[in-house]
Amino acid sequence: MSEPTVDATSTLVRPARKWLTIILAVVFVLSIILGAGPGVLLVNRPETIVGVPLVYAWGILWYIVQVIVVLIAYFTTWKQAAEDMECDRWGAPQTIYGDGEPA
Amino acid sequence: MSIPVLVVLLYLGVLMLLGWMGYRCSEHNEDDYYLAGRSQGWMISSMTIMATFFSSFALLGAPGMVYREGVVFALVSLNVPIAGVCIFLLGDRIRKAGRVGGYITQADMLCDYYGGSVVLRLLITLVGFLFAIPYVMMQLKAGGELAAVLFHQYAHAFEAGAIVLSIITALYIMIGGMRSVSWTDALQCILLITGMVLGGIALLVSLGGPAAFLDRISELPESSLTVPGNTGFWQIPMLFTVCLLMPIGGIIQPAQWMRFYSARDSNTLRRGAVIFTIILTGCFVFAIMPIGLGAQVLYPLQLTADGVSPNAQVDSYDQILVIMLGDLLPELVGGLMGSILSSLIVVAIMAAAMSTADSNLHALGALFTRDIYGRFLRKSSSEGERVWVGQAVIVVATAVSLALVLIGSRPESSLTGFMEMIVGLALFAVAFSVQLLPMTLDVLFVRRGTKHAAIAGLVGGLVVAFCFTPLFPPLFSDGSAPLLQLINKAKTFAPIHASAWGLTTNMVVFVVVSFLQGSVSNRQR
Repeated sequence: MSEPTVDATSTLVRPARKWLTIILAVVFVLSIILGAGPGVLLVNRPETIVGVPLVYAWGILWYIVQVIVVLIAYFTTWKQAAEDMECDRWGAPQTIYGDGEPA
Repeated sequence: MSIPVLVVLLYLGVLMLLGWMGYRCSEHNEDDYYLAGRSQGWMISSMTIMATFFSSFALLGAPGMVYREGVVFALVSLNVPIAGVCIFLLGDRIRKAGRVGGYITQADMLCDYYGGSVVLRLLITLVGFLFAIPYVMMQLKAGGELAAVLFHQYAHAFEAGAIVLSIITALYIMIGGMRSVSWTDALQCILLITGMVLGGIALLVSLGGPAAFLDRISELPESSLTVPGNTGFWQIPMLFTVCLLMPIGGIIQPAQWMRFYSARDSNTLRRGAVIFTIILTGCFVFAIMPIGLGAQVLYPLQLTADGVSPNAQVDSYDQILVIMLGDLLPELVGGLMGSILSSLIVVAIMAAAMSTADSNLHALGALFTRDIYGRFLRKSSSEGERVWVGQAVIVVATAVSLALVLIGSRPESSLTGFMEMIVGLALFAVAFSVQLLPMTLDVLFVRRGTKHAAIAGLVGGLVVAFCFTPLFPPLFSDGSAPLLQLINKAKTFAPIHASAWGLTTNMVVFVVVSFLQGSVSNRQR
């Protein structure tokens, strides 16, 4: 493998991307726990909101959150990852960034 | 000839044409037959992944389950974005690994990493069969249910529907391989989405528009509007584990794994993931699930102290969409147009069933020839011979699945309860496919596991998962057997899905054995 190159742009962009990845992951996991997990107990009543059954509306809310997370990931972290990442024969990343760590 | 029959014949004719075109474009080698030369673009890849993921589960099973349980099952829609995310996060790495290592099946990649163990390869192949056979059965059952409603005047409509669906599906896979499967999947995906949207619109219009629809829904019984639903089955732990593990099991199953290998590049799967998440979940949330709720309004359930049963006009929960649209569409849009639209829905349901059955049968062919025949039975076999054997496997697997469906459809069969609902079959299948998750995560991300840990974890996971499936209790003639009682106590203590029981065991065994053996480097492995 060639020597890692020091790239000023990548050293600035990478931490920001890492934080965005973490935030998106946390929001997505929360959306699952709240939307289809114990969070449902918060709204488990036979009531309606704007005519929609409360439990159903709760599901729609978390669907929208999940779509937003996926769209942000699509335009940011996934885009970069797709461009950067080369893998070995078992799928592990091979590209080395400026600081010498895998993507 | 009636309009529905004409539309169905036209559809089947187009499928056969696509099968033939796939054959004409193929290069008659394994890479091409199983992976379409690893060159699928984003449009075809997205559609074939969607069509494979959404089967008769979407068009018959889900409305049927919402009809039986109420709003709680609508929350299961939230499993789809999880699958979407997995398409990129797992799929892209699998694709890249497949390209570098020249893999065709799951076992090719996993066994290459863990050191080519015969036992491990056979176990992974077994997982593929345990997933694919029930999933194909589910699709053939859907064909039967469809025919049973459409041709109710005939005595053996169910059997005939299942047989026709299986013959056509097996034929076009055998002719054209992955290329024709993907092309037909693309067509079927469009039909599937059209069917979902059309069904939702028909329901809304027939109930007097969105406001009137919501008014009627709000009058449903309390148990239909809350968790755990009418039968009490969908308690929070069950709902959560199904939502979390069903999409993962559906994405790391053999047919999808091969679709990742066949994708052209990373952007193909990145786009596929986002299209999948937005379109399919949207169809589920805004079309399919409301259909089930609307069905409760139009065909009220019989809720008694003894349990829940469908309306007298409905033979089986899974038939609810077909029955409802058959009644509504001709009334809504008149005779001819109504017939055409009804026929389109019928074709959409067939498309949903066939697009998943074809992918799974095709994957089974690859599993057997690559992982068993070419490796253990006839090592010197040529590529052409293995393709031929794969085609024979498709015929055998179709015949076995069909036989099980026909046996299970008889009231006196011990399989009747197991096959009562399409959703039940789907959940049974993913309980096994999800057992590959620890290995997959280890190979793609962690790299601390060992071959023995993988084998022990997988065996433990499969056995435990099976013990918690509906097929386990019928094995005991004595209902008070200690093991059965222990499992029932465990189910009461933690009402989670069989896949979660199996996966927990699998993960614990995998981690403990890996820890005891010590992590080893690739060279040592």
